[in-house]
Amino acid sequence: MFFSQCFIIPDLGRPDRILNLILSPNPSSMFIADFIVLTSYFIFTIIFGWLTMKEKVGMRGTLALSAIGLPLAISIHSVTAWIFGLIKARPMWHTALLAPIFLSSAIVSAIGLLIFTTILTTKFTNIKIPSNVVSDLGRILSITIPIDIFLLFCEILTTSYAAEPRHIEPLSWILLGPYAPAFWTEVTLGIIAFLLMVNPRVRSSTIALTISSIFVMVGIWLKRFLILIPGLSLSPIGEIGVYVPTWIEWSIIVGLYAFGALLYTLSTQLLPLKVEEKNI
Amino acid sequence: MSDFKLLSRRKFLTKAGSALIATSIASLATTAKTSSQESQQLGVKEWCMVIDLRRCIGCQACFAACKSENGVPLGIEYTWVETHEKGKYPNIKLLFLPRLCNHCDKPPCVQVCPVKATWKREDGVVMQDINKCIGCRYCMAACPYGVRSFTWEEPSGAWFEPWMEKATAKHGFVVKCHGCYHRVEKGLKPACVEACVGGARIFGDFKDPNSEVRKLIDSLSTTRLKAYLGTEPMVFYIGLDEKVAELGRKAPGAIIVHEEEEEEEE
Repeated sequence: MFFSQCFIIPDLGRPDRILNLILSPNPSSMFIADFIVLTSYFIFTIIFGWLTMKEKVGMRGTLALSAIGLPLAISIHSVTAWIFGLIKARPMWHTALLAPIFLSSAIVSAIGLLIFTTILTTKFTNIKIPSNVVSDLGRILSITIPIDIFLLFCEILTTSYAAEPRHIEPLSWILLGPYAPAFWTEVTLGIIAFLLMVNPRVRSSTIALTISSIFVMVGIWLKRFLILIPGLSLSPIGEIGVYVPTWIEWSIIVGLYAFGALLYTLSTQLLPLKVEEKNI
Repeated sequence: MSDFKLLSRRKFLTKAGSALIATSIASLATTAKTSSQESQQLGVKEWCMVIDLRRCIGCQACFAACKSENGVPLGIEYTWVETHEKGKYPNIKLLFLPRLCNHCDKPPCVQVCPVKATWKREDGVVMQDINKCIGCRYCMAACPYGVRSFTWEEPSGAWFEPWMEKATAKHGFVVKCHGCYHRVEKGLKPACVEACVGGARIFGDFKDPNSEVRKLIDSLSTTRLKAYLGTEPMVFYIGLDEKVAELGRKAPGAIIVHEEEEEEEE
């Protein structure tokens, strides 16, 4: 959570003025809504982690806390989608389906990341996580990937059937134009990951799980890229921009990912995670 | 063939002549209005602009005047004129589209700004506080007219003269057309209006039924850019071509050729 919020700060032109978010918030801005839900979720995860790791609450307490955490988790992804979906100036983003798409994609990529890190953790540390947990995660992937692809199909069908020029132009870029390789890679990776996860026998093999988790992470990353970059590169007045990150931007990205990986590694060593096994 | 040329030349001369007369009348009318405005300073005005495209010759004088008046940094424009080429010889026409902040009545940029750095003044001007802006650029994504810009580098020359004295930073925020409020408050016209050689840009009070802008809006057919979005733009165009309204290119002076139109005519 903390790591994901770190990504926002280098995107600001004047990070030194970030406190203006608290000093003069504009309630009609989705950024403020996002700030509120992200902060509450961050606080919630700290409390949740502390309570479960210190064994202050039992199984029932954990479930009760999840009842608070789940709506919060849904809200952070919905509000993040609304940051884009409520912008009428960008026809590509302006769809009510964006929040459900964000949710399904978030579940797919989160499960992918979870599978990947769990496999790495069992391999390189002495934290032992039962293998049926990982294949259960794989089963969730076999359900959520088709939902994600279905929602994407609904969006594409609606846009192409109506064929409004300002809507169809960014879409044709993605399906057939300069962004087509990224789009078709995304779809192919998703389908392969689904096919690997749908068969219970294949699902139990670590190699299949690893491949499938990497595929969904790359696939969803491409999906996010295809929402953001084509949506912004066609300006509302028909101007076509090309975006290539500079070396400074690349190093910021690499640095942030490295920082996130470091946080995870430290947490596996410092936090009393082995206690979780007893709960399971 | 020569008939077409003759016709267009005659048309041009008539237009140029009428534009000249119109400009002088317009300037006279505005001077008269300014004095009458001073007496009724108390009533809140709603500034708006009418752009008569029949008078626009695409000379970019408004663009240049704006750049020098507001010291706009390189690579950023508050206003510019697009040149569109339509049709195929001999049925061809150059169309011009001056663009600027539409100072919408329901501005999407104000709605999305997380820190209230942009707001709508009572007189209709959409303002930008460069000292409050955190540079998130959400307003740039939300603006349907592409008139907001981000300042990447520290400017080298004198710029933002009306702002710079109070500015706490020189880059990293969003800038935009502020309707030359520093001139308007002194009873002057915005720099682009002042510089327009054809008198195509007409500036005035939308609330005053006797103002020149209201007379034009009430008596002529006007079009606003992307009015279907419900942003209620306060810039009204006379003689706007449908195709030009939707698509343009920001680079001043670049000619946009509408190829589809050519194919249809073949």
